[in-house]
Amino acid sequence: MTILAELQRRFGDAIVETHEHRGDLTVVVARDALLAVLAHCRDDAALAFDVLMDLTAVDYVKFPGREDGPRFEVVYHLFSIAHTHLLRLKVRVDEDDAHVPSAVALWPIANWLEREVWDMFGVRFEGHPDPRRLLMYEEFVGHPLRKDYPINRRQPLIGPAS
Amino acid sequence: MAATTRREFMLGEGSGTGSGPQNVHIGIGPAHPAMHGIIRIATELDGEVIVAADVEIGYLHRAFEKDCEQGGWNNAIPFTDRLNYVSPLINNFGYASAVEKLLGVDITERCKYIRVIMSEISRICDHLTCVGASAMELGAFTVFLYMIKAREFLWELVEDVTGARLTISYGRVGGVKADLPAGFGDKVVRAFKETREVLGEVHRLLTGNRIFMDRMVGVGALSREETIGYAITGPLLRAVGVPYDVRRAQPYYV
Repeated sequence: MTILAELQRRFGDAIVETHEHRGDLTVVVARDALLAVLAHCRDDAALAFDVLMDLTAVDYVKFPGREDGPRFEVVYHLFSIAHTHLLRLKVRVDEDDAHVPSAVALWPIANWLEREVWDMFGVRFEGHPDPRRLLMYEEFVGHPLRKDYPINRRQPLIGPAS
Repeated sequence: MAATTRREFMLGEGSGTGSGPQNVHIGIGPAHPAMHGIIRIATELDGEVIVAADVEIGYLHRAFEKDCEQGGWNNAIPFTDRLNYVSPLINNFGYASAVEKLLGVDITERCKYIRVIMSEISRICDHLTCVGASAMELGAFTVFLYMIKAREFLWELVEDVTGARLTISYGRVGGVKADLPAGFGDKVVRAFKETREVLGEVHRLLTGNRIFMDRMVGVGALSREETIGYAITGPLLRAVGVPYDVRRAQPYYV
């Protein structure tokens, strides 16, 4: 619990919630403090989370008890090569305000991961240097991993430019 | 561009307007789905050096996550086969162990050993495939055939255990589909011996090959900072001087 306690001590109210489940540490952070917390996690010698293992999102729109929002959680999985410890960091955002600051300046791998989250979930990353879709094509309408995107929806074929 | 002669364009010699050398833009792909992973790369070349590239990777996006949302926990197993067809066992077990962790389920000692042994065999299959295919792309087709021969020794083990070669669906939440077959240990020892012999042959063919080494050493080299910044692991991470092996640093099961 020392990692969670240390983050709470340092960032106070910016830490919305912490919990430990089956040995996994999770910290929920206020959006305004996200980059400061991420930078501290990366640069602090005792934490030394030098690897951004994964960056993804979860859509809670149909999750029992959480239908009223906030709809999305953007999830960062951090890993320290030196200490071999892990941290899961989450930011909650509403559907009509679905954006978080970009972490590309901290980890270059965030570039494609953030493009994927934008593509699949429709969460924007403010300050991203290249905010295009990653997997779907430009003309695709919607964000397929949102829980309310129907699995059997067909999109029109893209013909040659006329 | 209108003022550029073909010779100037192809050699990057000048624009014809006195602006000096220029880079050449070349599109690579898109490759056909039946070929190696479908991809398109728009490159900008200065001579033989790629100075910029835009990579398009989405052509075969299969929306596995969306499909996995539709069924029960065990319904996702066949999808994990297809995440990497060379080492589907590792993906089976990785997924199953994540679900087991959520449920708080502990699997049997024997099952842990089966998962580790089969994952290690799959890991070697993956390395054989990747090194062999890389050599083939550089023209060393013999190496590819040798490596695939070695992979065949190991895939026969996989076939013995799972009943299939690629889409094996052998992992289960809570265990594996079936026990190891009789005589499996002897077959593993024999297959490993044959694989080691192939590795010796390939080592002489590649590491002792001036053409191969000249084309590989120092080309597209990553720094330590880049490697960690891009979350690259395995042999590439160790190649930049980080002595990290996930099996030593964070051992699983046994």
